Amino acid sequence: MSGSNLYTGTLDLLILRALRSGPDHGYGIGAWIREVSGDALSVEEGVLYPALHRLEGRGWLQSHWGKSESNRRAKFYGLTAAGEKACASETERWNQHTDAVARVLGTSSR
Amino acid sequence: MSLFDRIPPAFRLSRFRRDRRRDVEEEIDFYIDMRTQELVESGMDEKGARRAAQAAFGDRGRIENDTLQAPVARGREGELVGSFVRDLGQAIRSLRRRPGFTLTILGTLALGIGGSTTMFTVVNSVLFQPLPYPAPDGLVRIYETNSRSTQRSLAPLNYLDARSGASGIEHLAAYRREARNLVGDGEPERLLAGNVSANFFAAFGVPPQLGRTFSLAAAQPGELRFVILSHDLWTRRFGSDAGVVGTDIRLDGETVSVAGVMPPSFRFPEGVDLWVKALGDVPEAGPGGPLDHLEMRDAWYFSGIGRLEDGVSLASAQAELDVIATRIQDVDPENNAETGFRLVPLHSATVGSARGSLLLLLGAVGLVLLIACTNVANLMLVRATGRSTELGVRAALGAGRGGLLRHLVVESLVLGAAGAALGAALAYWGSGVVGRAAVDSLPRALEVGVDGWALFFAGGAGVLTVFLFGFLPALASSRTHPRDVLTARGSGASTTGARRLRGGLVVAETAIAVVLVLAAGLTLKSVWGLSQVDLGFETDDLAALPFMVPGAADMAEDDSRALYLQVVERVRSVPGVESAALAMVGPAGMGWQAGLRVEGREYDSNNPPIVARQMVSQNYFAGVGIEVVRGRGFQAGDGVGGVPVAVVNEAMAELVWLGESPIGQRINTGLDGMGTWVTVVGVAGDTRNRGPVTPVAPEYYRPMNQAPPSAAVGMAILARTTDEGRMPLPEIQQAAWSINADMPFYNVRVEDGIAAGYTAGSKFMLGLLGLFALVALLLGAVGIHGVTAYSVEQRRQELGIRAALGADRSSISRMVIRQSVTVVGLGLALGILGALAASRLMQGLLHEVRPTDPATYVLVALLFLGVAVVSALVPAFRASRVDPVSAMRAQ
Repeated sequence: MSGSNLYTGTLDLLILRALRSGPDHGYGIGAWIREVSGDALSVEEGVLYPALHRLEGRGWLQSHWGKSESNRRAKFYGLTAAGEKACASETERWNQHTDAVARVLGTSSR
Repeated sequence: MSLFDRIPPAFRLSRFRRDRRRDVEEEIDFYIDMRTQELVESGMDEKGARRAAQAAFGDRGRIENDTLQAPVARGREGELVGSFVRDLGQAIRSLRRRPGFTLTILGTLALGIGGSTTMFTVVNSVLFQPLPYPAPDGLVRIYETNSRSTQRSLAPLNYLDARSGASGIEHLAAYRREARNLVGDGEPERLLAGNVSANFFAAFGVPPQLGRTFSLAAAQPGELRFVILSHDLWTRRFGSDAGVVGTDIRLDGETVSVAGVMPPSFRFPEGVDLWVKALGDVPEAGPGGPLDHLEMRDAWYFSGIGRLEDGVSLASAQAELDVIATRIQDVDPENNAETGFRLVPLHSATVGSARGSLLLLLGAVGLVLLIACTNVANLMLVRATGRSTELGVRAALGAGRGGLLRHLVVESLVLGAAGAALGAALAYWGSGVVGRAAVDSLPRALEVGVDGWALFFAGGAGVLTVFLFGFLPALASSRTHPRDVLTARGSGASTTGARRLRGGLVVAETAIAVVLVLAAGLTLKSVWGLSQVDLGFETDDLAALPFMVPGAADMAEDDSRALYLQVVERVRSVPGVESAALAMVGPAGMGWQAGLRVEGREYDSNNPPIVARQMVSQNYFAGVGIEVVRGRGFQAGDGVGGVPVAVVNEAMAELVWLGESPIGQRINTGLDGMGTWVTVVGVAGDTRNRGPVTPVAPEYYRPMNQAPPSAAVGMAILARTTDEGRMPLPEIQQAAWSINADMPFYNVRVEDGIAAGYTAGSKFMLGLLGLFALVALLLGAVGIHGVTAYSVEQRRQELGIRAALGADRSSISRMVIRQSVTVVGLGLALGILGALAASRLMQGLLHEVRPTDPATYVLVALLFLGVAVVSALVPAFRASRVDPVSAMRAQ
């Protein structure tokens, strides 16, 4: 699997956040992430898909096939109850982590 | 969300087949198309946009693989159903790969479930299903009682008193079976008719299929009488023609009108072809029987049935009848000093006698099912241990224990469902066969049929068998730890525990089979004993052919007598007939019964001896082979003008004269006319006139030349054929018809000869028990063979070593046989113990055979030891042929 643990954890969190306001298909999720992050985070856009399936396997996402806006068959993902909880806790973890890193980086010397 | 989306993903059916890879491909195609579209909208051309989108996506191949490798969600769409269907397919495939195993299990299940369901169907239809009448619980039989009997027929005046006095019984009806001849179009046919009181059908409340039932007004002499046809007779003789209602038919000399046809479910009394309304309030006894029947309290000859009023209990109706009985005792102490009434619910009256044997048979077939189950368990155990390598490898590769278990359960379910379906089909066929074959020996035999309960039983048996005997071994084997299997020696898969369990199963099924075979053997001995009972006359090639001369009732006595004698003469001259005699019923039955008075003795009014009476032709004793032990038989001088004479049987001589000679004594029963005293001239040997086991009824004989032939009941020809065997019935019928074309014969059971009728009931029991025992023996042999063969297979290495060390072939095969015999011997011992413990159950069904009869036990023991040896022969032979080199090399 590509990407470091840190990176995949980040992507997971982004996906969870993307779906907080409702289910969407893979393209929509990717588009939201690109938009909100200003295209800064996409290395390979396709790595979204292993992440989506992994999150589904973990029980944080559920999926169903439906019709897209252009009436095409598409797979939609949504947060499960566990996923919503995970979103909150992962966000909290991320914030704690970045605060810690910021503190480290913010101290002078070295 | 659509309805489809509301179903939890795991259960959704439609997507389960989709290849996951295609799903992912479709997802990614969607992404790339949308991304392409986005780029096109921002100004790029189609081709360029697509290339850019694909580049932005990344290494599609690698990403697809990464996606596919992500752990699958448990709630994935269609997962449960999908995996179940996959398991189903896999189970079927693996079963097909082992046809021997699969067919053996299916066959065993089919036999076990089919047999037990058949028996359950019979028991259910006969014992448990309510009778096919409306509100059947309200129907009761009514009997008279006295100090000697609790089940007597009714006497006319007693019945009428009961009918008017018992307010708790709504319709108290009377009925009697009689033989009537149907004459007219086609062959004359002797029918069994029900002579019934007017309220007979009202008591049952079953509506007719065509026409109407009887009105409640009694028939008067001289007016046209009505009859109602049974459904069987209507289809058989009248071609289901609805137009027969309202037409006239001729019964004997009487023209009667058909008022209606009953539905096929109404068959009371059993075997009756049609119902005739009685002349008057009670069934006629007919000429030849008591006269002026309506005034009598001392002739008991018909049966009663009634329906309790709504809300009235049996006990309160019985209490009313008890009061009436007391009144009768006071009114007529001469004949009815001990008279009582007894009410019995119709259901128990009909099936009570069969209850014991049916439940025994149900128990027996349950044992067969158990044996089938142990065989199934054994086979599944063998297969499970044989597959433990496969399962261990699977477990090592990561298949969860749940998955393994599920696979084995599905396999068991497939086998169980298939076995139950086969069993149900077998039961459907089998219950039809049994029902038809048991018509003469089992009440309600024609009502036997597979219904919802029987199917439920079959399904339940299948499920239970599968789960108790298929699932448990599966459970045991799924505990396989991969390490144990992969590092073990080849024979490690058959642990000591499993081997002991299999051995124990064989012991158990042998024990059960022993019990069944013993029961069958004892019954066989009993039936054989019954068939050897000295019936009191020469049975070889003798048949009783009842017939009637229609219109004889209207003839002068001399004319009808002459006619009967003419018939017998003609029959005598038929080639193949050695001798022909006439009797009212013959040696296997008895005639009319009445109270006896002996001249010169105190007439015991409370307890007159009841004796039966038959009219017979002069050559009766010689023709039938009855020994005259004292005095003489009938001779030419015993004619119309001579002294009225009689020959009594030994039972009557014993009963009345207690061993002293009755010769010269004079007797009187109402049957000869109230004033006629008849002189006893001889004593004849007893014949079993009440069945092979019941004590002989006292009876006396009167010569036809003196006593009028019974015109209503007819007479029977006792014909003996020459040794060539076949009863020339058509020729005999032709001979009779040459005198009078309307003379029917009742031709059922003629071919069996007179002796067969005695053993019909026991033969039914024997037939079924024997079948079960045979199946049990077969299944047991299969079980023993299987276990022995498997054990030899598992011990190939050990046997190879033995052979290499110099053991000769015969000693190896002897060893295998010896082990088989040991296991069977253990089962034999257990089975014998069990049979001895349960021997009381069989007591009532055996005739002069002790349930602990040693000869039978010894024979059965030898049989099983023989089976043990034979079943082990092939494996033993194989064992002796084991090539030491290849055996030791093989793992």
